[in-house]
Amino acid sequence: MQDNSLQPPKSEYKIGGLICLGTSLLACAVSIFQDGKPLIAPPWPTNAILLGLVALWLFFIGLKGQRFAPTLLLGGLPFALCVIAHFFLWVLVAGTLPASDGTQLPEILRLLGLANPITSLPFNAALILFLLNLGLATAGRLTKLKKARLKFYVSHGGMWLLIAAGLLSSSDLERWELIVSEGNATAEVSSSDGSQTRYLPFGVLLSDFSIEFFTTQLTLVDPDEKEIVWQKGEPLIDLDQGNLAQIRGWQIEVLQSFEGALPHGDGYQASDSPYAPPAAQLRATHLASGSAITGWTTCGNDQVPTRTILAGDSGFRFAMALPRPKRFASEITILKKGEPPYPVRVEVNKPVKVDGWELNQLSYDETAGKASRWSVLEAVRDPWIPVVYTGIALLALGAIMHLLDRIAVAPRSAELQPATAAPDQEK
Amino acid sequence: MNLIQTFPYAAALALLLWSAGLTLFPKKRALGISLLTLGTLALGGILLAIWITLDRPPLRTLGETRLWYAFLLPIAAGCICIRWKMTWPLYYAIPLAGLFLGINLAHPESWDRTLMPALRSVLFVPHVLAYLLAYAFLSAAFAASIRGWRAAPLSNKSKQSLEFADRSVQIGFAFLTLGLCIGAVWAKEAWGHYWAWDPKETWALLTWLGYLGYLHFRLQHPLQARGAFLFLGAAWIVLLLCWFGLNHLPIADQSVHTYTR
Ligand code: HEM
Repeated sequence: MQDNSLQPPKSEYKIGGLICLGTSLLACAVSIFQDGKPLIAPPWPTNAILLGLVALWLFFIGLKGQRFAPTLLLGGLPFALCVIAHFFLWVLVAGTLPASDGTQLPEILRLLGLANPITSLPFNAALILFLLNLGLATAGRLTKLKKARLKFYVSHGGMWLLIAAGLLSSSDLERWELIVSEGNATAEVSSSDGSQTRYLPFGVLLSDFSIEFFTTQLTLVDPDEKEIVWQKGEPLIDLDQGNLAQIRGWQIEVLQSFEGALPHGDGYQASDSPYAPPAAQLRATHLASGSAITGWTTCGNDQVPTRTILAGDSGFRFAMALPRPKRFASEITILKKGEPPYPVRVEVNKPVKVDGWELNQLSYDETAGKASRWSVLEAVRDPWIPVVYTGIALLALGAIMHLLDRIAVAPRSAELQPATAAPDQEK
Repeated sequence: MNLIQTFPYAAALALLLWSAGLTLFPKKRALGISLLTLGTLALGGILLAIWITLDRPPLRTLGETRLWYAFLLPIAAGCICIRWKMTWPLYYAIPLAGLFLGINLAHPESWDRTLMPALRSVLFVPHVLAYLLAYAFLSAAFAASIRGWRAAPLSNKSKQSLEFADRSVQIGFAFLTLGLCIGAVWAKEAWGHYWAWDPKETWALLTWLGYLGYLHFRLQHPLQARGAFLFLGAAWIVLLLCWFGLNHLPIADQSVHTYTR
């Protein structure tokens, strides 16, 4: 066991801890010196060359450097625990700082680049130490190739590839918003804050934007229609015609329900207009007193005012909650020079791929709801995806291999020896 | 909605069957096992009923995930018990499952049919289920760590607990990794990028790192039982923060009811 190997782990922990602390301090100092400048990965092809060189170096170390004390230490388990803890702390910082543009943060945090922890120097320094250990640990086993260790390579190698590629590819990742209205075509895209624009190598024509909503639901608001007073745990009542339900001592019966309706006299009349909001007619009966109220409610929209029903002197009104979208999609046509137009459908969770670009359905005119005449797509280009996905696949495969291995382990292995004692003890 | 309204009865029935099962187990093994199984099946039945009634997988709200957890934790512990021929973990896992079920009984759900478009994916169920299985196994490990912590150091009981904890973590960690991988692929489909560093993802990563640390700690220090039990307690706190403290589900930031714009 390593607990009683030549170099006592206590000193390895000391050295490992010092390396982590030193790295963090150095990264913080450099970050302050550079006024919190974000760390950006080099663009293609420099990043790929860098990745190749690092991999080559690791390979060389794996073949030659195993007897060399520093690589043993940097690729060993005590150092792994140090870098995992060290990285954990920086992720914790990233995960607890409020997401913001950094203006509310104290000056020192801004100087450390923590307005956006992910591109900050200290965070990335911690990640690189993590990668170093992972890489050396994987490489260190190269000369001891054994089938039994396949799962070790698959999980550690996959993890290394995933993080290294994810880290280095950030500068090649492009994400742009494409806003197009029905009947129009565009190739222009802009960054999400609108500060930059560029043109895609193809045009996008929006033939139709369609959206489908769930059945609207009943909610409760205060008598001034200012606040929702419906509370979690109370029933959600679908405003489907004929639906009968109870809430706060009232029985609700949905007499009529329209997906789209316009005011007509005292009530509402079904309408196909995209500007017609949903509306429902309810009969509410107070169960204790037997008194009944009948009335209309609609969530309204830009054209039609909201309408609610006062629930006697109960201190609230019955109202219609805004309908929730079920799915939305854009029927688009891809226009490319010298090629026939190519119609496709883009839906949430169903992106389409065109010439190395991926188009995702992002959003629509939410204030207009089903009257939305425009659609927001996101155009993403990430040439490193195959590499990253290889990493993810290996990591997942490694997990499955470890899982099956665990289940296959002989039931009575651990009388004296704990179940997880490292299989190889040659160190 | 009628089947859903039977939820409190099904939950109470499960709690009753579990209590009776655990009490009878030492003397009448077959009867005890049958009662425990029936209680768990009752939960499975109500989950199925909810799934059918809502017309969507009931994996969206925290309450719904707690319900799955109460269903899966006895199964996870039971699997390990059968595979490695132990019985005591049931006395830790089932009360823990009962506690989570009890939380649901104390805070009734508003059963909601709606499912936002981003969640309509074939990856939704495998992703959340992988996480809940992971939580079930990792909680079983936590339960074992409590038993081990209270046992005399170096006693058989302590060793047994550690062995069970290690096995549960190794299985749970595999599911955690799978959940993470499925989530990344899904995020790419739904949002265009596989990792966005939002708080949910960040805390899922922290949980993963916590148990990654545990696994490697065990490799390095196979004999430090008390350190391992302490580690499991800390990692479980991170897990709970990720699950409840930060509402790890993608839906969580969507308010239940939007009335005004
Ligand atoms: C992806 C999930 C991971 C799993 C399932 C995993 C599991 C394991 C296992 C089972 C071993 C022992 C292998 C053997 O002795 O044959 C091991 C060793 C090791 N792991 Fe991991 N690990 C993972 C990720 C990591 C990460 C992210 C790091 C570093 C930051 C790391 C660093 C190490 C080191 C340094 C060793 C010791 C290598 C040696 O002694 O030669 N592992 N890991």
